[in-house]
Amino acid sequence: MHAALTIARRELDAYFVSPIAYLVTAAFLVISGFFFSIFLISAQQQPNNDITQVMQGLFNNINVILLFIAPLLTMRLLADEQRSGTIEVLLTSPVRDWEVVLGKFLAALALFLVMLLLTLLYPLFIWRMGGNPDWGPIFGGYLGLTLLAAATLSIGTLASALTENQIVAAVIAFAILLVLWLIGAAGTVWTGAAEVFRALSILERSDNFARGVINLEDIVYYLSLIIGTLFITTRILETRRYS
Amino acid sequence: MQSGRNILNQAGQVVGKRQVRFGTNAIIMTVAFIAILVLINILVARTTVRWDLTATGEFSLSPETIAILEDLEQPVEIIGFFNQAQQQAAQDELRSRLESYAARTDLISFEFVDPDVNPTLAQSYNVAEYGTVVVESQGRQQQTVTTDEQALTRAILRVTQETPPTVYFLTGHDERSPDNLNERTGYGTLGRILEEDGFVVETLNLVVSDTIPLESSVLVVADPQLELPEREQEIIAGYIDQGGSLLLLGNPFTPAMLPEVLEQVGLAWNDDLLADQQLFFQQPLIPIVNNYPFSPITSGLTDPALFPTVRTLTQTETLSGTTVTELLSSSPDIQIATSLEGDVQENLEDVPGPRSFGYSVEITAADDATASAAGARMVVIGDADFAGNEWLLATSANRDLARNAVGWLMTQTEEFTLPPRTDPVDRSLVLTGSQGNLVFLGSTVGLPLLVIVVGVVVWWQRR
Repeated sequence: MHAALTIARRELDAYFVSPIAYLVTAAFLVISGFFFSIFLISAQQQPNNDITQVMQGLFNNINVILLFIAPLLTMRLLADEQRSGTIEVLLTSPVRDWEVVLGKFLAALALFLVMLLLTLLYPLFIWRMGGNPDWGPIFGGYLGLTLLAAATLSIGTLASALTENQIVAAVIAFAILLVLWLIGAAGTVWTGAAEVFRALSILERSDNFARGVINLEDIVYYLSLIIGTLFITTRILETRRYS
Repeated sequence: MQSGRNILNQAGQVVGKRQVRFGTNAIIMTVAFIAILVLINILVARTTVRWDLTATGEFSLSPETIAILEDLEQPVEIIGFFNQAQQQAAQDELRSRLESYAARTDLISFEFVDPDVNPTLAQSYNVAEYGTVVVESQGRQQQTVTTDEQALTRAILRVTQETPPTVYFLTGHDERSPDNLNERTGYGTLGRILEEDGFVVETLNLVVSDTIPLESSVLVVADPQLELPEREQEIIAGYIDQGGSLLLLGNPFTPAMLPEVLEQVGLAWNDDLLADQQLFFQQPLIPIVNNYPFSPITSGLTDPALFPTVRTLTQTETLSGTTVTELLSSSPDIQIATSLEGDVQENLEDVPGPRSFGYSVEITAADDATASAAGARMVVIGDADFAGNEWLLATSANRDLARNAVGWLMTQTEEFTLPPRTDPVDRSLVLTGSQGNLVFLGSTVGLPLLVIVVGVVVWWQRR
């Protein structure tokens, strides 16, 4: 575990030395800031000017942004190590394979959480202006986003283990996420398995949190997705060791 | 599994690569691990463990509903007829609500059916609309298209309570009969529709019976051709005084029904026939209404409603403690006839419009002057033909107006109403124009720019 944290810290350093982390963060904040301010301002014209719903609208849109930035944040993680050959050094060092995977994943998650943390300025602004939102659903929304981010980033990590090419890794991650995003719609074609498709869909789950209802089922789904994906990633690395 | 693994192992040895053997192990381990995760998810999905973070407990059942569920003695089955492709969100919301119902008692079960995939089932329940929920228990059923807690719990109560909700049609004075399916003026079609809505439809003869059951009841008086005897008028007035629910449907040039009951709420029949000249193609004696006020009775009405031969109503005074809502009114361009003698067209005279011919009445506070008990409700419409066999299904608005009126009247005589779930805290935030600009520029430009500046500084220092 200690080794995983060391790897995570080293990876995080790498993120923040390069301009990429700052650019991605800035772009993320432009988009989410745009949604937040537009929702807040347009709520002024509505009879039901509810700032809790403003935040809900924001969460539902950050969900979509995640679909696009998760592949960007994770594409380099393992693909680059494989391209440059440094993965050999890592894998032959006394560090266990799962610690490498976990460390890389935690670094990407930490970067996203920094980005998410900056969006806390929005509810802080509401509060400073004298607004009194229902904090429960806002807390739920942030919890849901954290879980969804962890799930999408773990899939990005998996994709990055599959190839040496960063672009290919990003494309694979995006494709998997898109399938998981839209799989609920498959239920409309194969109605018999609608329940199964619905259960697999990453999208169906995320709405509940922002509405302020936390189902144990949803938490277990995200945790399973994260653990399962990281497990597969570890097996892939292991297999690669002997190739 | 074991033998398959051996074969693969042998294959690996044959090829002489450890990679194949190791890859096989990895695959088996992965499959097993995922199977365990799937199993855990399936097990957890069967439970309903949830935390409601909303201040108003939006996702928790009210104590009233919980009490009703815990007192259930017979199984209740709930079927939601939803279009899978287009109503996913609505279905999910209902599913999550029904899950919390089912978590309280083993007697509730529910399923979802796509009426396009299973049209026969939808037909056997007479489901006409997507999003209809059928609640069924021991042969009694209720339909609702509203799926909030209030509507669901009410439907469960209606199919399980001892006295089923009953619509009484007054007889004995040549009224419209809910048993008459054949004649064009009959109310047989309306009777059928009310039965589909889960109501028991009965006729009531006040010569035979002295009282009108108060609990879960609506009394319909539809176009009596004879004046009601004094005694029966008193019984009906007494029913209203106790908080009853009354639907009055009157036609032109018939004895004015229950004038004293109407007077108590500030309404009066006019002795006239309305001709609406608004639309060129329209038969003036069949006024068309296509603007509806905001009311639970007219909500959801989109088609125009047709009213063959209408007598108008006048609100004579506004009484405190009595809410009178105008439901139906003519266009401004109208004429009326006050006599049926000779040619009606020649009797028509221009009068200033618009005039009203439909009201809903709710007595909100008991008033000593009228002696009426709080809670009584009335719907008064100056036409009885719109709900007859010939016209009821002519437009969906005619049908829905009649069934909504009965539904609205019925909810009052039932004991179950949930207190509204209102949030005591003001959740709004009013911004001035400059504050709006500040938040827009600050969040889309200021904050991202700050991040870039930090990045540049870090890069500069590390260089």
